[in-house]
Amino acid sequence: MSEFRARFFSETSDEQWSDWRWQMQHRFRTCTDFERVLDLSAEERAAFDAAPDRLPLAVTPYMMELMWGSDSTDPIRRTMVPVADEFVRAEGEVEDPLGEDAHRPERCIVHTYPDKVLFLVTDHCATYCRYCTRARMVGRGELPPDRSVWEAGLAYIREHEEVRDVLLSGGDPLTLSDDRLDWLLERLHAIDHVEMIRIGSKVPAVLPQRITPDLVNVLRRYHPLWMSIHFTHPAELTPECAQACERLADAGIPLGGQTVLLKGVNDDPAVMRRLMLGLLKIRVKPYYLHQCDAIVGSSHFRTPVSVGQDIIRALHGHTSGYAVPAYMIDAPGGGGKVPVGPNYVESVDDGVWTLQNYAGDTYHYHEGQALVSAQLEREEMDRA
Amino acid sequence: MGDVSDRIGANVVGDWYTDDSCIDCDLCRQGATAHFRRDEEAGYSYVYHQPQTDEERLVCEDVMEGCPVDAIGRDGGNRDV
Repeated sequence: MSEFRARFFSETSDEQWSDWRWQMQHRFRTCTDFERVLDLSAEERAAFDAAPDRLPLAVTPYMMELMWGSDSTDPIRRTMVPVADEFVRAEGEVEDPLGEDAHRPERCIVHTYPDKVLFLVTDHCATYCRYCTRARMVGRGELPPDRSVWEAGLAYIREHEEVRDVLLSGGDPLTLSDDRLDWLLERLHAIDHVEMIRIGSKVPAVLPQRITPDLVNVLRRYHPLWMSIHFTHPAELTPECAQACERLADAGIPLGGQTVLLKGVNDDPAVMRRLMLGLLKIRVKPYYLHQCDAIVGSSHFRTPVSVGQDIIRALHGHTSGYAVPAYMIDAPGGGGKVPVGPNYVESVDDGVWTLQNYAGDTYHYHEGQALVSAQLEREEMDRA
Repeated sequence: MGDVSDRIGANVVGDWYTDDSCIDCDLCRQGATAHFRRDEEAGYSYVYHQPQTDEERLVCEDVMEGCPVDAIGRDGGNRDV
C-alpha cells in the first residue's frame, strides 16, 4: 500500500481502490476534503472562500495521490484546485467561447461542422478541469443523460444524412454506466450514414479504473469507434493509465491525445516532449494541441500563441512525426478549429517554395506543374 | 433502474431508493432536492423523503431517468431497511 493510501485510506482494500465507483464516491469535493490532504495556499483558499457557483469541484483519490505533497505550483494541482484568478474576467473572455449555444439544434447536439456533430451526453465529469471550455454547463445538472433527451439527438442525426461523424462528449461520456453507453452506441451505430463514432474523455487519465474489461467489451461492438483522450502532463502517464490505454487499444480503438496548452503546466518544450513521447509509448497518437479557449477566468492559464508555436518547433523534426500534434485555435464564436502551427515557408515565387527545415536550413522546392503551366503561358504569349 | 437487493441502508423506508452503484454525481440532488440528499461521509445519494404526491413522483422519475448509472429505483416497497 502506498504512503498516501496508508495515511488517508488505510481501511480501503486494493479491490475497492481499483473500483471506479469507489473512486467516484470518495472524490475530494469540498474545501474541508482538500485541506485534509493539501496545504492550501492563500490563492487557493481565497477561491474556496469566494463564490461557490463557479466551476464545480471534484478530484478522484487516484488523482489526489498524484498531487499529494505538492505545493500550489504543481502542474497537476494547478489544473484541478481552484485559485482566486478564476474570478478575474479578462478582455475577450466569455462564457461560451466557441459559440456552441448558437449551434444547438437540440439540447444535446452541437452542429458546427458540415458532416460532424457533437453529442453532449452528460454534464458530469470524474474530475473538473479548472480551464474547462464548457464551464458554463458542466456539473450543474443541466444536461442529464436522459434517454428522452438523447432520443431527440438521435432523431436529429437520423434526419441529417450529411452527419457521418458523431463525437460523444459532455461532460465525460465514460462516467455513464456500461448499460447507458451501450444503449446510445447501439442506436448511433444503427444509423446508416453515421460512418464513425468518437468518444471524447479524460477518464483514462483521471479515473483509469473505469476502463474495465466489461466496458471495453461494450465499446468494441461499435467499430469504427475512435477515442480522443484529454492529457495534460506527463505525470498523468502512470502504470494504471497505461493499462487503461492498452485495454482500449487492444480492443481496436484508435486513441488520439488532446492537450490544452496551459501556463505553468505544460508550456515548456521539454515537458511537452515528455508528454508526447510518453503518449506514443502507451499507444496514444498526439492529435491536437489546443490553445486554451478564452473562457471567463482563464487568463492565468493562457499563454501567447508564440509559446505553442515554439513548442511545435521544438518537436517537429527533432523527434518522431507521430509525436507532433496539430496546434489549433478554436475560432471564437463557432468558426471551428484553425491550425496555427509555426510557418516553415519563407516565400513562394513563381512555383518555387523556399522552405526552412527544423534545423533552420533553407531549401527550395520546385512545383513542376507550375513551371510547366508558366512555360505554356509564355509559349501562348509568344504565339499571340 | 436501481437494484433493490443493493439498496443503500440510509434510504428512508418506501418505494424509492438508491443502490450502491451511485457515483455521487449530484444529478438527483440537484433535480429533486426535496427527496435526495448526500451522505457526506460515504459519498453517495440517498432518499431522505419519499415522494407523496404525483407531482413529487414526477420529479423523482425525471432524476431516475437521468441517473447516469441507473442507481435509482422505485420498487423498494415498504421493505424494512
